[in-house]
Amino acid sequence: MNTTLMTKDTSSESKRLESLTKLLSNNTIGSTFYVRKTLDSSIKVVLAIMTVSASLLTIFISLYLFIEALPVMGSIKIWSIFLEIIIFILTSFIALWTFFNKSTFSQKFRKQTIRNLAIIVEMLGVFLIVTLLIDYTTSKDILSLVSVTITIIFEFGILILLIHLFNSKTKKINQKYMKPFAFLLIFLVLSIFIFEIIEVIPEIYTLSEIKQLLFGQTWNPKKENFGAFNLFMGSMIVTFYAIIIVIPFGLSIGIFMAEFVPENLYKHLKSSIELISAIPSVIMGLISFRYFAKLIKSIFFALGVEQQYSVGNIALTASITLAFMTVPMIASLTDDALRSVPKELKKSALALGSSHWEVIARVSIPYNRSSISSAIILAFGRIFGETMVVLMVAGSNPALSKGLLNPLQGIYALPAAIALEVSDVVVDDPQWHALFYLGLELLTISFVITVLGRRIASGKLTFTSVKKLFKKGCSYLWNRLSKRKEEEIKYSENNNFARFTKDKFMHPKNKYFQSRPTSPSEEQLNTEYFETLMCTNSSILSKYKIRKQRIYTGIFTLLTFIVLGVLGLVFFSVGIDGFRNIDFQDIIPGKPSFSRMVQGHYGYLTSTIGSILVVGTAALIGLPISTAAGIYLTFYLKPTNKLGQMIKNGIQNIASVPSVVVGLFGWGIFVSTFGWGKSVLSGGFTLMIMMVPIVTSTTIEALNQVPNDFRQGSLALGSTKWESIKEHNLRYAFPSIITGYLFSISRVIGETAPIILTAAAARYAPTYFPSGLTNSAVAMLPFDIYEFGLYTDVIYPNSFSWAMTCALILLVIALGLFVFGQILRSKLQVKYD
Amino acid sequence: MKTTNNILKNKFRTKRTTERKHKFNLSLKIAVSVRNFSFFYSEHQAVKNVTLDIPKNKITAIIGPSGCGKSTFLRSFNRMNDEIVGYKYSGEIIIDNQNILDPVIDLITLRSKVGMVFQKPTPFPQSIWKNIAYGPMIRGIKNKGQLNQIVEFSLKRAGLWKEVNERLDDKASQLSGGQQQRLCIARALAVWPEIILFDEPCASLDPISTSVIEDLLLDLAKDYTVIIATHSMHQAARISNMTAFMYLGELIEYDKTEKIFENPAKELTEQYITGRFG
Repeated sequence: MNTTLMTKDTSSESKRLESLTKLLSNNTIGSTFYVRKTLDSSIKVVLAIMTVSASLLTIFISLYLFIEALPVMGSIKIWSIFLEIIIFILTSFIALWTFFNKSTFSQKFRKQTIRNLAIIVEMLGVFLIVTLLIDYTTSKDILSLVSVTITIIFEFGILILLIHLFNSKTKKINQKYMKPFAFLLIFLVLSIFIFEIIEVIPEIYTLSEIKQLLFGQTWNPKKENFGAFNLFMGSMIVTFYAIIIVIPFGLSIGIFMAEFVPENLYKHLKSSIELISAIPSVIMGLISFRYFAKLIKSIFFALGVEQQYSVGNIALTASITLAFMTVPMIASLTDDALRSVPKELKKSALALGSSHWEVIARVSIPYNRSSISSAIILAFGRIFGETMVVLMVAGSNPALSKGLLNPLQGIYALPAAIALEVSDVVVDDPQWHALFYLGLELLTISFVITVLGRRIASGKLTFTSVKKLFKKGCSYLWNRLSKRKEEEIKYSENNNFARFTKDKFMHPKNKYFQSRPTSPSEEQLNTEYFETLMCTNSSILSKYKIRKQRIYTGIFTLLTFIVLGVLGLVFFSVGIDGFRNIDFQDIIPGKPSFSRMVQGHYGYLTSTIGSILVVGTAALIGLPISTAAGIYLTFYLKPTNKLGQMIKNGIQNIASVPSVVVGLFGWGIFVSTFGWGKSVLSGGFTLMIMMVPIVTSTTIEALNQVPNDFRQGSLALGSTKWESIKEHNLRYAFPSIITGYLFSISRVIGETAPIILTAAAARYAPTYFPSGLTNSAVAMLPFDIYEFGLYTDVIYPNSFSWAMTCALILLVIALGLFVFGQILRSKLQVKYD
Repeated sequence: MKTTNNILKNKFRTKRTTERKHKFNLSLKIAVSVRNFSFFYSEHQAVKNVTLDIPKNKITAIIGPSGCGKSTFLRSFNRMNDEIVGYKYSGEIIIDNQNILDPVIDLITLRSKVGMVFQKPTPFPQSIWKNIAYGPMIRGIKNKGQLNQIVEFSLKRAGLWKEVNERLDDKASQLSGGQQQRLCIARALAVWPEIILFDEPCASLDPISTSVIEDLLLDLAKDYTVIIATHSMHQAARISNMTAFMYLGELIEYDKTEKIFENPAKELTEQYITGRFG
């Protein structure tokens, strides 16, 4: 192929070429080069600052809850001692394990374990310092000041150890240097420990307070009886039965969507199932309170036990509602998991003569066992923290008089207690601290569940891995206990316990080995094995298989249609009841209509404006921070930076923190401590905390979907890192990022528990806007639904239809944003091929 | 600046005198000289102590079975490996009297001097014109006339001008695979590089497109230094002037292409050339 060489062309061409060469061989065109360089580095700093602020926020929540909950959890000294015991045990464990046992575990495994333990110790140490400081400020005790100083020194020591470990360049731990260091650390901790033990003995009686909090069965704040066990059990009852109900529905809809639905229907089915997750929980609470509860009541009436269950507000009603709300979560996760099974695997199973159903049951589901079980665990965590439904439907009776596992009774759940009792609590009252304790308990449980679920989903925690660890531990113990020689230990270094026992067991001299049953003889094989194999008539078998498959398909379809039917009913009732009572006069500004209003309440336009104000504030602060954090965590954070990875996981884990806990935090910090009162700012900041993790994780996901090739290509052309990100990854991921924004806003606008605590109140003043950013409660749609939905029509006429109208507006906004986001993503998606 | 250059030169000289194994025809101008270069991915050593000189305005091919480190080696010439985490390198790669492995080296300048074309054609999902003008534009050239000149020059040089000059505003993804790869070459040319690295540029193309690109490479070698990593021995034999054979991260043999393919010095090279392994 002959390309025309420019240099050989006419003289004008060569002149042009010369000018181009001059232009392009000059690297610094004007000042742009330096501008680009400084822009690149400064943007990195800005992004890092945003990320740090986002992550600090999340750490701060748990620390704050802990501090506020301390006063009711026994004496501070008891807690510091408790923390110290843990730190002491862990530290000595680290030291002993690192320096005296080199045979059983690999260097890498040991290093990882030390690293993890050291991080835990570091975090506990921060808690310890805080508690001791609080103790010092209250009691002015010199001893606690001394222990604070010692603890800080200790913390620095561990920090040095950590930095040493995090430094990937040092391959081996310098043992000469670390050994005395570890002993020094142990000595330090031991010394504080002894100090404190002497101090704490007279206060040992306060331990009963913790016992009372954990296991006490009476919750009576007015008499200062804070036994949270029944609240915990109430939550557990609701969650347990909801999970039992949701598993068959969720799994079968997931399987149905992945395997049986024709492709052209699949999209519609999936998006309509996902619509369920976009319905605000307060609307589900209202529907459940008005319809489900009555339905269950009438069922009991028909069964003839109406005397006993005269009210439908029982745990079972809440369970059913929550199950309905969690169906999309399990269904879509199952669907995704089943679709990720390699086609070759399915085809080879089909080629062996198994039916479609058998492929699902024997291949697809076992292939995805971990992700399906993690979906169920995550759903558990989500239901456990869900507030509005248990608040509105499940009653408020902490007695649990009908047994600890009976769902046919009214219960008082943990989140409901927080949301309900906050409004009449005085700052620094014992009840105040007790509520923070409840928040802490809720946070801990849901956090543990989420971490567990995520670890299972990522394949880090499986049944086999636990078994392996157990076996390793066993083999270590075995080696130590049997006092075998070093050589033998060395021999079995790579062998686990099982292989070791197998060696002994299978030894030729072993009598068990000799008496092992021999393999079947040829005759036996011919007669028995082949007969059974040949006699299974394939036609009968396949008929049986097909019948089985039909039955399962029928069940799946039925369950799917039940869920879709309920969804339809929800939309229908909200639509009809809401639309019937809209007073269009109320929509015209300046012309408020008092005709249909409840007790002079100003109107739903005010509430809509209030909702938009609060969520707008949240979005204004939250979206830039979380987008910046997403960009930083995706492109600038190195995978070797373990601390950064922990922050990344931490931000994503915070997404599962129950909304009521975030509300409690906002109430403590913004409403009470900052003195902003219930207002736009407090509500906005609180909802911002809810928004940040959601948007961060959707941004990370969106950015990861863009192939890295473009960025590399751009880098190879000499662009800076920020230019390559901005021009390519950000631009192509832009529709998905915007969709993430819309989804998060649609979710946050329906959140009720946080705004009950921080922003909303029923407003009667005749203005559309709150009088100021602080200390002026806002009327908001979810709050109106909650407040007026629970009144009976006898006391306030039209209150129900009022709530339904608000529900309609809220539903239209939330679903509108959700659907708009989906459409936007599908229309604007950049196609790479 | 001069003094540092002198120091570098002295270093360069002493090293060259110590290693007599790698004497080459000094009448060729040397574009890149690699001294004791090793590359590590965390624990694994991908390139082991490689020393060679790459002549100017010639095609140098790096061949070897997959996983032998040739791609990693190639990506080190414009530090694209910096994008990979947990890397570590030692030794020197000297371009224009400067050790480019020096952390002080400005990557933007380096990468605009040492262009790169990847295995998979990666046109940006934008128009053809924007794809070519991307490099000059980020360097601050805003004059539309100048940009048009650059686009025209680059496309002509890459032999794509006749095929696309009437649809410069079309999406680049509408082109065929071979055209896309030539577009990527044109995109690299628009930044005015001196050295162009090709990382198996024909691996995902059909034979006809491959031959077109090979012709293009031969033509480009008149003005640029071309370094190409390829797993196809025949391609190396067809187009390259110098050939380096790598195996398991080590440079086994580096010589003129004719010598490598007709009379290799090492047994391993012969085995590979004759297809007995790899």
